[in-house]
Amino acid sequence: MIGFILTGHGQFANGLKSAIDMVAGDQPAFEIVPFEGSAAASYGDDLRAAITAMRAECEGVIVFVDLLGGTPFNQSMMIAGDIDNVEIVTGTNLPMLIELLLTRSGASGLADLAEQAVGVGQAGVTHKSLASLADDAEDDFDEDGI
Amino acid sequence: MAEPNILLTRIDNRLIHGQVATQWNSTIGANLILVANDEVSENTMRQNLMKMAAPAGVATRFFSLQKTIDIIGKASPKQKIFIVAETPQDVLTLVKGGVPIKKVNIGNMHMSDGKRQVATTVAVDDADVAAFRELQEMGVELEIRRVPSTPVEDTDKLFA
Repeated sequence: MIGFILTGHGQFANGLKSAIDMVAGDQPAFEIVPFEGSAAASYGDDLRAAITAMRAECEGVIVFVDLLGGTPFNQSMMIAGDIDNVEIVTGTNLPMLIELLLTRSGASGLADLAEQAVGVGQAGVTHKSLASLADDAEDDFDEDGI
Repeated sequence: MAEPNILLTRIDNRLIHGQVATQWNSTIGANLILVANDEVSENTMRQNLMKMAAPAGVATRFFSLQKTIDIIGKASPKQKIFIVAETPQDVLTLVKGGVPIKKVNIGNMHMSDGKRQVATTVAVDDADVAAFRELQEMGVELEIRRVPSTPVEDTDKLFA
């Protein structure tokens, strides 16, 4: 199993986790580490402890962060320098996590899974309009069947 | 004629949405989501939104209850069907119409006036309970479960 840590500014991680709970239910090997102003001093240590504990349980860990270049990202990168088999993914979104939580058990490797996260996350960002909806509405009907 | 390959039937107020599209469908391995609902069968807007929610490679159909009853026997054996309906009454109509439904997953039945909350995401009134009882008496297996990773809740809660 590859473990997941979700971290970000303010209540980002808590909020995303509550959305995942609603759509996909409670998930094993999935922890959040919020980065809040009130606990900023201990954030680095808290994140390191969470990643270390997850790494002890799992063959590898992906840390999902909200923002490239933000403190959660910077801290995660430094921690990943000290612990092997820890990958960082930025720009985390709900489609990315929903898909990865489903596919991680069959993943071929940690880096592949992180790459898949990027692809799924990007694919989840779209622009839709009612006009384009109607255009896409064609559905393939088999010759037999319903 | 071979019996249609109905993997699961789910009762869900919201029909095809996040839980159904991302969790249930892949867990049961369906390649066709059949929404059996009179209102949606005539509402292109809602159909288009639900088509967008369906996973890639999974077909969608939006049939009225009567059309579902009329056409289900023509399903191809290759069609692995996930039926989604809005209410237990609709499922009962399907079963009475001859749709071979063996198992019903009870997902979301929203709370509203006159209903009582009996499980985490399930609220019922007397008419719902009567429909469930009739389904059970016809040999249909009932299961209360929100998403595949959450535990099954006791079906007796429906009849308490």
